[in-house]
Amino acid sequence: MECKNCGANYRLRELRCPHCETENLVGRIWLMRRTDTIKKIEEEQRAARKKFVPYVASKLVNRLIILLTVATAVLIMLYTGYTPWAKRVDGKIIDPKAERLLEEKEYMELYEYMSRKDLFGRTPEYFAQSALMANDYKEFITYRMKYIPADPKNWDPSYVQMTMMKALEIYTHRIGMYKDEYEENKEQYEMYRPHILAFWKGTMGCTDEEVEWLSDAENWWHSDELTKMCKELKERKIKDAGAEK
Amino acid sequence: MQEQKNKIDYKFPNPVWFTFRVIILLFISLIFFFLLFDFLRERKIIGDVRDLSGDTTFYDRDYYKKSYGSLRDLLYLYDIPDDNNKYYGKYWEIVHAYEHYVMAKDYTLGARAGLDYATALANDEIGALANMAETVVFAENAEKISELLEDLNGL
Repeated sequence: MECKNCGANYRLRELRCPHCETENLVGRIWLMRRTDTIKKIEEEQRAARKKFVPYVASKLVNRLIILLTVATAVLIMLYTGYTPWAKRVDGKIIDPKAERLLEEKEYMELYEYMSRKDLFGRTPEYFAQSALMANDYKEFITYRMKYIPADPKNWDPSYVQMTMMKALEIYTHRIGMYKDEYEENKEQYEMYRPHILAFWKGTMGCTDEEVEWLSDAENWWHSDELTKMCKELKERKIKDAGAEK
Repeated sequence: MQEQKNKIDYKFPNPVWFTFRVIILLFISLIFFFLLFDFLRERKIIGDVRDLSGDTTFYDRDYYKKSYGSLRDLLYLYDIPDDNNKYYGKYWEIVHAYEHYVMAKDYTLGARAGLDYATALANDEIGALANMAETVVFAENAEKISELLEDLNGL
C-alpha cells in the first residue's frame, strides 16, 4: 500500500511506514483479526485434543492416582491413629478408644481391641501391660478350673506348675517384656493379687516362706525350684486331706 | 491458516509409562478399598452376622462331664459370644457359675489360712453364685448350680 504521509510503497500488514514511521491503521486491524483467528484455531485444536481418548485416559489416571493416594493416606492416619492431633507420650500415640477402655476398667475388651489394631508396641507400655495382664488372668482362671481339681491326688505336677507360673507372672506383674510397675495399672494389680494370694495360701497350702519366694519376680527363672515346690505342695495336700479324714 | 486449522498435534502418552501408572493406580486402589472395608467393619457399619446355629455336641461333651475348665477354654478358643443366645448361652452360664465357685473356694480356704480380707471376698462370690441359682436363665443349669452351692456350703 501507499503511505499517506510520504507516498512510499510498503506491505499492507506492516504496522508502520518503514520510511517515515507513520502508523498504519489497516495493518493494525489486520494483525488484530489474525491474532483472533489464531486464538480461535488454537482453541479448536485444544478442544479436539481434549476429546482424544488416550490423552483423556492419561489425564484421568494421573488424577485418580493423586486422589486415591491422598484418600489412602488420610485413611491410614485415621486407622492407625497417627494423626497430628493424637495425644502422645514419649513419642507413642495414645489411642482414644484404648484410653477410654482403660479408664472404664474394660481390660479384656482392651486386650481384644489392641490385638485387633496391633497397638502393642505403638502405645505407651502401661496399656500393653494392662491388656496382656487381663488376658493372662483369664488364662489363669482357666488353668485353675482345669488343672486344680478338689482331690490333690489328681493333680498333675506339670500342669500345677503351669498354673503357679501364670499366677507368679500376674502377681509380680511380669507380663512378657513389660516388667515395670506402672502407676496407671496399680488398681488392676490390686484387683488380681488378692485372688492369687488366696489361691497360694488357701488352695495350694503354701507356707509364708513359699509365698515370699513366689512373690519375688527374680524367681521367675528358677523353674527347677518351682517344680520341686509343686511336688511338695501336692504331697502336703494329700497328707493334709488324709489327716482330715 | 487452513493447514494450521486442519493440523492437530495429538500427543500420544508413552505406552510403557502409561501401563506403569495404571498398575500403580490398581495397587493404590486395592490398598484403599481394603482399608476402607476394614475401617467400616471395625465400626460395625458392614459385616456378616455370625451363624451360631451349628452343631453344639462338641461342647456338650465337657458340659455333661462337668469339665467346666475345658468348656471355658473351648468357648474362648472358638470366640463364642457371651450374650445368652439360645445355642451357647447355657454353656457360658455354667462356666460363669463355676468361676464364682472356684473363686469362692479359693477365698474361703485363704481365709482359713489367715488372710483377713478373704472372708468378705468369699461371701461376695458365694452371694453371686446364690444369685445365679435364683435367677438361672437356662433350666438345665439349675441343678448344676445348686450342686456347686451345696458343695461350698459344705466347706
